[in-house]
Amino acid sequence: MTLELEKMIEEAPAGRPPRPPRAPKPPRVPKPPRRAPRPPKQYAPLSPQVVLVRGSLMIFAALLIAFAANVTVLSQVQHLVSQQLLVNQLREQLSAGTAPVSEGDFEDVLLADGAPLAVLDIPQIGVHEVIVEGTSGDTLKAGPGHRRDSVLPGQQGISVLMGRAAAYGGPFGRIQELAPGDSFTVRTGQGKQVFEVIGVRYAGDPTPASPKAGESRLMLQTARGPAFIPSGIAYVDARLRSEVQASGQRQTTFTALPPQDKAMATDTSTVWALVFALQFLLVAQFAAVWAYRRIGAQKTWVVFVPVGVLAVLYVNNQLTLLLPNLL
Amino acid sequence: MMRRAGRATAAAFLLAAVGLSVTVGLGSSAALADDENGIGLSVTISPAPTDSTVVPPGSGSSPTGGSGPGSRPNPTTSTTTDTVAPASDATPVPDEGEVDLGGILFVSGVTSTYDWSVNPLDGAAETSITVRNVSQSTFSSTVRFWADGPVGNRLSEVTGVKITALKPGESRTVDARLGGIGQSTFVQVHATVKPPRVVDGVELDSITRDQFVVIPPWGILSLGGLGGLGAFGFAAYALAQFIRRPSVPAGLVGAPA
Repeated sequence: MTLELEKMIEEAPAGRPPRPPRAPKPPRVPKPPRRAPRPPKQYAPLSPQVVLVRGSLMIFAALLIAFAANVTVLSQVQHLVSQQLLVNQLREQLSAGTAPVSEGDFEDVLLADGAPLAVLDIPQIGVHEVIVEGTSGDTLKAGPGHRRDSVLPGQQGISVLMGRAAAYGGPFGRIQELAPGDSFTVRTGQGKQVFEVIGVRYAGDPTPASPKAGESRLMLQTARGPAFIPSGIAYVDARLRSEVQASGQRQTTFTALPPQDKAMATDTSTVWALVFALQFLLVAQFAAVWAYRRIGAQKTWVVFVPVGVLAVLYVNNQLTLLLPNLL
Repeated sequence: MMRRAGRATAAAFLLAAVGLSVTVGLGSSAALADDENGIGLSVTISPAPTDSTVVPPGSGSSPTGGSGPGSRPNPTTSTTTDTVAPASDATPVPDEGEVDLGGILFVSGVTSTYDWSVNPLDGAAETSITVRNVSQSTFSSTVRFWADGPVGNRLSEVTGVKITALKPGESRTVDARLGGIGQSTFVQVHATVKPPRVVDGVELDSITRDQFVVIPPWGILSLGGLGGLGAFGFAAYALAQFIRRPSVPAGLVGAPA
């Protein structure tokens, strides 16, 4: 039995024979399409009138988009740049002791719109802004503005500051969150003024009594309602808790206040610039079309894209002035 | 042809230069306006006037603030006889309690923060308002909070929040949780303070404050994100399948040598 088994083991093959190489798979034969592909649609050529209307609508749509982008995004950048410039300017004046304490500068020249006046600090809502002279829509792009017919913050009387609620940094967008008793400061050429919030009110609410002699009040104004859709004016009244400062002379009275400097006013004094801006945009568009046909697409793009962007920005910058100044 | 193209290019660059020069006015921000030579008006900065009166700004035709009946500074009576001390003297400092605010009740604006929830139909707005008693009496009030949706639909309401025994000079903050805000995205939160009808002989009305709150619709955004991820996965799978497909025509494939 054991001999037979040993013989079988010896006769058995030592290992498996190597497999023959597999034949490569035949490549798939692409299936023929079930139906012939559709021929591309042939549209009728557009008439010149249709081309003109289509182009005009495209430009209008681009202007609308650019306008929205300018108000919501680009304006914030412009505000930051303006604030940086104002901080540098005011810091220099404060260190030299030439910061304004009245409506004129230290050389007895009436302050221009946009001149830096003071630094407003409201830590509760994260406001650290340089206040400028004037409250027109163009001026409030840079930061909160001081109404010309009112005294400076800290001086006896009522000082009025206006600020935008949403666009251009929206520095006063959260002032309604201030509660009675909250304190904040304004640093002017007369030193650091400490204010205490009296309360928040809307148009139609009872106002605090007129200040007495030796009392200083500050009123903050901004737009209320959804962002970019103002529905009214919100006021924050505050009273001075630190030493009252002497009042500087004011040349502007409420009667002489320009209409564009009042709350929620629009600035139509530079509509002529809007007309020029639109003309510039139109000329740029015609020139781009002419260059596209005569010179070619590449050179036209290189030259007219920046020109077109500048024209659109210029138009939008002027259109923004037609919006309420507290927006 | 080259000369024509060159002229055209030159014209285009000239136009661009004109555009640049015109749009320099873009930076006409008032902050940059610097009147080097002045405008011809001179201002004499002198000490405070010796006989001036404290007149609120805008006391001419339209005062600056709200137009509350009775409490608005009257233009005809705003010229008081109080005399302001010259600037050379020590500036007057009001003593504690000297300043009379002349009101009864002051309130802050509404502050509201969104408290999100895992349930997309839930979520709440934590709303608060601060009230200050500047009268001479202690009184109680009630506050009503409510929230409206983007089309004015009522989302939530809390009524009868009590402010009991608010003492003179005291400030108190009351809050309420407005539930069921969900993913309404654009929400108007309101608070109405209802004081007693008469305090210190002065008739009072209710005071309402509003705030607009934007709530990110994270539920819809999450679904959109998941859909985007699914679409991206499907696209990646389809691309992989496309790459794996042999691109060599069948007739060119031969047997290995």
